[in-house]
Amino acid sequence: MLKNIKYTFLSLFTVFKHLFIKSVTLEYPEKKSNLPENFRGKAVVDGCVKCYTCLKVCPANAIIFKDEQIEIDMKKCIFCGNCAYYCPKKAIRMSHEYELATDNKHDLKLLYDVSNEVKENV
Amino acid sequence: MNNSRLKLNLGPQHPSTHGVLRLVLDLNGEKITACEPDVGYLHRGMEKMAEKLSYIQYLPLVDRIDYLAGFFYSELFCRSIENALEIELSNRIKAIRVMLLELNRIASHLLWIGAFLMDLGAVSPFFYAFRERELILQYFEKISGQRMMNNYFVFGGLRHDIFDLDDVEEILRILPEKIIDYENIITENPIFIQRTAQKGILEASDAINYGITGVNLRTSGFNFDLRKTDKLYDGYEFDTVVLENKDSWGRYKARVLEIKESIKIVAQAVANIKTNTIYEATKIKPVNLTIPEGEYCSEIEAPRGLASCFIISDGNKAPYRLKWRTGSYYAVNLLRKLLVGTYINDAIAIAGSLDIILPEVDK
Amino acid sequence: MKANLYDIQNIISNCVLQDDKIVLKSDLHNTIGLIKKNYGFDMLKEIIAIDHQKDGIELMYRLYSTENEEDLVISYTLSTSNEAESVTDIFSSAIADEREIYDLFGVNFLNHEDLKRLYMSENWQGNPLRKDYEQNN
Repeated sequence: MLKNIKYTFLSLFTVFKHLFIKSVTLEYPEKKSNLPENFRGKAVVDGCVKCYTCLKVCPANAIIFKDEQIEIDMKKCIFCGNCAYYCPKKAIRMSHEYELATDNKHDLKLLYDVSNEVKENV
Repeated sequence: MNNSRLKLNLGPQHPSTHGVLRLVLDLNGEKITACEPDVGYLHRGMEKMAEKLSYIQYLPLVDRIDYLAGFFYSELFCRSIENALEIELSNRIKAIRVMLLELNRIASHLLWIGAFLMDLGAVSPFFYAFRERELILQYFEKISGQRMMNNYFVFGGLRHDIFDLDDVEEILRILPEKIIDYENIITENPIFIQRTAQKGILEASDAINYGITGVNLRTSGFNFDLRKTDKLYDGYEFDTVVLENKDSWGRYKARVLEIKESIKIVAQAVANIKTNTIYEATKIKPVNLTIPEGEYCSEIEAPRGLASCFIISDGNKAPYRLKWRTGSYYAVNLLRKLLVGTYINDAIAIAGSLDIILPEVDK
Repeated sequence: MKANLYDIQNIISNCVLQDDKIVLKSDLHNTIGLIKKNYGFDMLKEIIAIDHQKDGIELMYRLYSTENEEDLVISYTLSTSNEAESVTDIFSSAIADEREIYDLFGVNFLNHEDLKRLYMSENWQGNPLRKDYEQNN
């Protein structure tokens, strides 16, 4: 009986002290979190030389080379970062963009020129 | 299936994080007379995919076999390849791997505590456990780029060196106080004891016959921990948690004690990282990698039991056969026997205490 | 008692030793029962099935002894009829393993208490993990 009373007070104290602790909620979307430097978001290409290494290491076969352009299909991409890590010229890098929802599915096929320009969704 | 009056479906969806497990129960009043688990809702063909993808293409997918303990399966796959190519890792890399593996074990056990208590109806501990787990996941995001499917281990080492350990020391400072909080509100709770003590009794000889390993076996009084003979954990001092309770309450207590032991290992690993400062990058070129012909097997003590990876290679870019052995696969099979003769309101508590996660079962 | 592989080869007449694993030619069920009783191998860690195409399907049983802390691998190649004896009365962990091999490779286990598909749906045609399986949907 005494043990139960002692237990009741101890557990109530443990739970109620949370009224006075600062809450850990982050009010998204008004506040965004600070992303670390090597966060893996959308892939961006600049300076590709067509060595085909990224195509060989992609687990989802999301990279295709067409004419003079490289096409990354974001519907297949799993954001693993293999292409960026193994590219010999560091032409692919994973940017910090993660809000990628859209209402037009053709936005999800990214096309980049193999020269130094960036052109999206034909 | 005799003497039954009603067939009840404990359906594939339920409000807890086991995953999509379906149990078909035969009931006589409120007592269960037979139980049959039905799995396969999350089968992704991991073993067939491995025969078509090269080794470096398969490496990011290995984290997804058990998404709560992704580092363990990554380590298993890398270890098989490193054994085949006879590579030795430097001391700094081994210490970093041990630190990350044990932090992952703490995160996995914390999530289990939250999910188990939510199964029984108490929602507050779920949020407390996730608040602590968040600190660990934010550290993982800082070093590797993502919170869960990290893809940080490569064959022969790591992707890059880690640069600061301040966050880990903060985690080691905060966690022990919070665990005292959990113990205050859960362990001696009379309702919790009534629902879990003496329920789901598992004898050690039965457990070995059914292939059960990990915490479930150690709570039945049998001392079996692969970390004591693992070369990666050479030189670390920690105790194996062995209890004699055999019931669901014992499995809860064993996991809380394991979190405390893992905190000790992380502290020793941090000290090792600070003394070994030479970092060697990996020398293996993974694109077009082939390994010599033969059979290679590696094992590790994952949070849910013994896990192993068996590779048969014939000298090509992809393995000939790859087989995963996971701990939860055999725990689901054990439910056929453990739930017979219990009441239906104990069924979820017993099934939850075995720590089953479905992606491990349906590879 | 500790298992000496040469001892086992002398006692059981139908096996050969081939780099650290025992290759059986026949009589799978009784041999495994004998090894469990006499040498104390009480845990079956897993059963692995490999499709060697023309040479048939091979089953590998990985046994472990908790008392002496040692591993043992037993290998058995099936003939073209793809039938094998079930070991579920010796090790209960084989109930799920054998169902998986029946589902994905098409091996029929005799005397299994409840042999049906595990991962695929009940009306699926074909055995996915075989090398000659073609996906046609």
